[in-house]
Amino acid sequence: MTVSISVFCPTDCFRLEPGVRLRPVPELGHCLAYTPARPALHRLNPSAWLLAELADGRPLAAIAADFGEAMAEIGGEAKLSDVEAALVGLIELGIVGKLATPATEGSQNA
Amino acid sequence: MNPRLTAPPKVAISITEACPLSCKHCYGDCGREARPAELSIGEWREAIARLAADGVISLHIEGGEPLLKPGFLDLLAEASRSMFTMVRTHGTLIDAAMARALRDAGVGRVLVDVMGATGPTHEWFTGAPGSFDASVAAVRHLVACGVATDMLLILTRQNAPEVQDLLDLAAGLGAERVGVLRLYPLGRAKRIWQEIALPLADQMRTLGALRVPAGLTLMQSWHPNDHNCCWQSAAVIANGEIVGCPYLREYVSHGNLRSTTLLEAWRTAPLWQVLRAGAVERSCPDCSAAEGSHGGCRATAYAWHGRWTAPDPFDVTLNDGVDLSVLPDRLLPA
Repeated sequence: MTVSISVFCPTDCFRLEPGVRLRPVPELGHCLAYTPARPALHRLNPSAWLLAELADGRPLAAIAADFGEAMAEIGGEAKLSDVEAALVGLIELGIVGKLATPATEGSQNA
Repeated sequence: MNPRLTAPPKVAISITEACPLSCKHCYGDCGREARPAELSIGEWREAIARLAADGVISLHIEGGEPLLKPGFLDLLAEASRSMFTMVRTHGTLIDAAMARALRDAGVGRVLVDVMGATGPTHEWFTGAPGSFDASVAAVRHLVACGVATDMLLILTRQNAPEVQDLLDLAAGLGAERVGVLRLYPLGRAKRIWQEIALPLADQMRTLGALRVPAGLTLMQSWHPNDHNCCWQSAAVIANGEIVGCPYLREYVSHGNLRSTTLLEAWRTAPLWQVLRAGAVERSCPDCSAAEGSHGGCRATAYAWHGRWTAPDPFDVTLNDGVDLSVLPDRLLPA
C-alpha cells in the first residue's frame, strides 16, 4: 500500500516570489519566468504556467481545485500530490513562494 | 514556415561602438571613442524600459565594449529588475571589484570573448598586449563571485589549432559553456578575410576533433545545429538602427529607435516579416530536426548568395561547393 504524505497544509498560501516576472509565449505553448533574485530564465510548460498564474496568494486547496477544474476542461485530471510536486518544483526554482502564516511567523520569531 | 511571435521575448543590443582593443576582425569597426550618432545612455534607458513594457524578458548586451558606456552599471541594474540580462565583453575591464559590481547589478550571465587559447594568438587579433591574461582573469573573477560565465571564440585559421586548449582552459576556470562561433564577413573582418577565414572542411574538422571536458557545454551553430533564428531575433545597434540580428547589421534596417519602437518595427517592417516567416529554397533535415527551423543562418546565406531564401553555405549539406575562405566580390571592401 502506498501512503502519500502531503508536504503542505491545505491552508498554506502561495504567491509568486517578489520580482518574478512571467512572460507568456502562447504561440509556442509555454511561459518564460524570470527570477531576478537568482537571475535565471525558466521555460514553464502549460501545467507549471497555470500553477504559477494561480499562485496569487490563495491557499493550496483553492489552487488544487482551480487547477483540477482546468484539467477537467481538457479531459485530464490532477491529483493533489501532482499539484504539490509541481509547486515544490516552482518553489525550488524561486518562482513561487509559500506565504508566511501567523504560526510560521511565530516560530521564525521565537 | 517558422512559428509567428506577436512580439519578441528576447532582444540583443550593441550599446556602444567604443572599445579599448583594436581587433583586426572587429564586426562593428569599433574605435576608442564612441561615435556621435550613438544612442545616449538616457535614450537606451528609455528604450529598454519600453522593451520591457512591450514583453521583452531577455536582454543581451554587447558592444563594442559595454562597460565603456557611461552609466552602464546603472542601466544594467535597472534592466535586470525585469529582464534576464547577458553581457558580452572582452573582459579586460573586469577586475574583482567589477565582477562584484556586475553580480550586484543582477546580471544573469557574462560572455567573455577570446580569440585564442594563448596570449600571442589572442593578441595578434586584439593588438593589445596583456589583453589575453586580462580576459582570463575576468573569467576567474566572475566565476569566483558566482556569476554564470561563458567563453566565446570566433573560429579562424589562427585559432583553430587552439580550440581544444580553450575548452580545457575554460573548464579549468569554471566557465559553464564555450561558444565556438562562425566568422562573419562584417566590418574589419572583411579586410583580412583571406588571411583568417578557413574553408568549411577545415572548420568541420576542427569541430569534429573536439573533446568536451566534463562539466562544460559546447555551443556551436554548424551542422547539425545550423539554425535559422530570424523568427525570434530582434536586435538594435549602437546608433539605434533596428537590424533584426546583429549579424545582419550591414544588410538591413527595419527602422530606428529614435523614430519608432522595436515592437512597431516588428509588426510593420516588411523585410523583417519576410525573414521571420522563414521561407527558404532548401533545408537540411538534420538541422531542421535539431533546431526546429529551416535553411540555416540568413546572414551568411545572404552574404554569399545575395538572396534571403538562399541555402546557408556554412552547413555541409547546403554548401554547394562554396569556398568560405574567399569572399564574394560584392562584399570586398573598396
